[in-house]
Amino acid sequence: MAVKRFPFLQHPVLPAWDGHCHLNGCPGRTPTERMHWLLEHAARLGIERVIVFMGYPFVYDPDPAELTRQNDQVLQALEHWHDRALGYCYVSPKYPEASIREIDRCVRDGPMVGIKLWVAERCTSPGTAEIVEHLSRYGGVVFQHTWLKATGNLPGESTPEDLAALARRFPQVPFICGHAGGQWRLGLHAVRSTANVLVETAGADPVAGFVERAVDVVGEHRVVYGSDAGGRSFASQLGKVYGARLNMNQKRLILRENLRAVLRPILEAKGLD
Amino acid sequence: MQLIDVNVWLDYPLPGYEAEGGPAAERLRQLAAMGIIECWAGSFAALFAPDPEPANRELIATCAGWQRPRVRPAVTVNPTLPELDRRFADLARAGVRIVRLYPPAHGYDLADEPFWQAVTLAAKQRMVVQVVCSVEDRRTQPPSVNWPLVDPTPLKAAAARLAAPVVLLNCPARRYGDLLPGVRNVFVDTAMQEGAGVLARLIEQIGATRLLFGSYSPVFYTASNLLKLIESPLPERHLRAIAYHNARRLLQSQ
Repeated sequence: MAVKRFPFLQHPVLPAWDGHCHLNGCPGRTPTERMHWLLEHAARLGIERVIVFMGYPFVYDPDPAELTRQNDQVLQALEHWHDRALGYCYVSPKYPEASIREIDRCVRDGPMVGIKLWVAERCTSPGTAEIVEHLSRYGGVVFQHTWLKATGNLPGESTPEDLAALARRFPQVPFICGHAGGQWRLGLHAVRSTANVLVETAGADPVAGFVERAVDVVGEHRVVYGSDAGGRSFASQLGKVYGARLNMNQKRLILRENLRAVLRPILEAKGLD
Repeated sequence: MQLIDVNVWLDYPLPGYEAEGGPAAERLRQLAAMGIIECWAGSFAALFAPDPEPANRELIATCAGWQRPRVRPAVTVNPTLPELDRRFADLARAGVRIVRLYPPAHGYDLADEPFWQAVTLAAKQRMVVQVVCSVEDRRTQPPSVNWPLVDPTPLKAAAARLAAPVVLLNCPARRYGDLLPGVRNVFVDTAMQEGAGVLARLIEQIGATRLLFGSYSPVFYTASNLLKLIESPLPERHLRAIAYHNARRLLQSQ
């Protein structure tokens, strides 16, 4: 069978899972409509599955009711797309009890396969450890947004170093270092020696060299593709991997296999793989 | 389908960046293999030189040696330097059709007179003006090139003075917002346009005639902007306009 290739790029289309998508930034009146639109665009670029988290609009410091409302939006969006979409549960270290209730509702009893920690509080806080401890009973992935902004972080914004400290306390839990810290030249080194942290390619400009450097620093099995769509273009972020000077096997790992491997236990438990 | 890439750089790296993609000749051959038949190429050496003329001459000479792809020099102009009239005349004699401006690097903005002098002289010499609006997202810029994003809104207030076409390179949509529909002769490249399905969304906002394919190679992965052409379900005529015809028309209009 002929290998399908992208026009212009002259590169074979590789199966991809996008580990970082949002309903925010997508058109549509309902979560279902937004998900449909998102998947339609993802499919044009060979993306088989997307992981969606947080609803809309984005809220930096959600209270428990807002966490529930946003997780409900994601649950609604997933409803018709279990074969093509997965979800992480939005939680906040400021509200560990409410977050644990959300994990029970969305991960233990629902279809979600991990948690998303954003910028309400840095992940060195006691609340985060409590949440991660609880999640570890059910498996699943901890996705932590990280940045090292040249313009200065938000007060509750975690750095890759913060994440490495947290991940060392839970060596059996897989963590994803969202955005690789933004300034990836620094972020990659901060998590290098923490083997249960994978670095993610989403959500910054597609500066050449990033993905090759990530493979150099943390190894090809610890890099995962994500886009941060709808705010980011699937294309601009996917191009980081397709454009990288890596072999086809390394690209396959980054685009799908690495994420699939860390999610496999919980996917199998839920019958979703 | 053939492409014209309006945002390419021959020499690299920028200060604070690693050299990626190999030597210029290798990179140009890769662009040709992707269907890029012509690129408009600038020089970082010219940008950082106190006087860009020697680096511009080198750029013009290098570009002349390329047929596949054709490489048009996008020469650096610093309009705050003296003898601007003479500089433009020299460039025109050398066959230059595209000038690149870097307001934050050279200490002016688009409301300032040096910018408008450059636009006037470019029009006189039948040139296209490119304005480099940013190097990278400010949150990730190395300190060596931590420049503010250019504010294009003064173009609206002085729209009648836009005698030459102005192409905003590396300008995110949030920056030009609703500027373009009301101002003729202003264009943007795809390099830093973001959002899922971004090209279709931009066409709704500004029309298909204002968008030019720009990869910002080799600073960005070329693949990132090539894939944008696939990400949105675009009618063939829009795709061709962005990929080729708009850039061609810009040069013909001058």
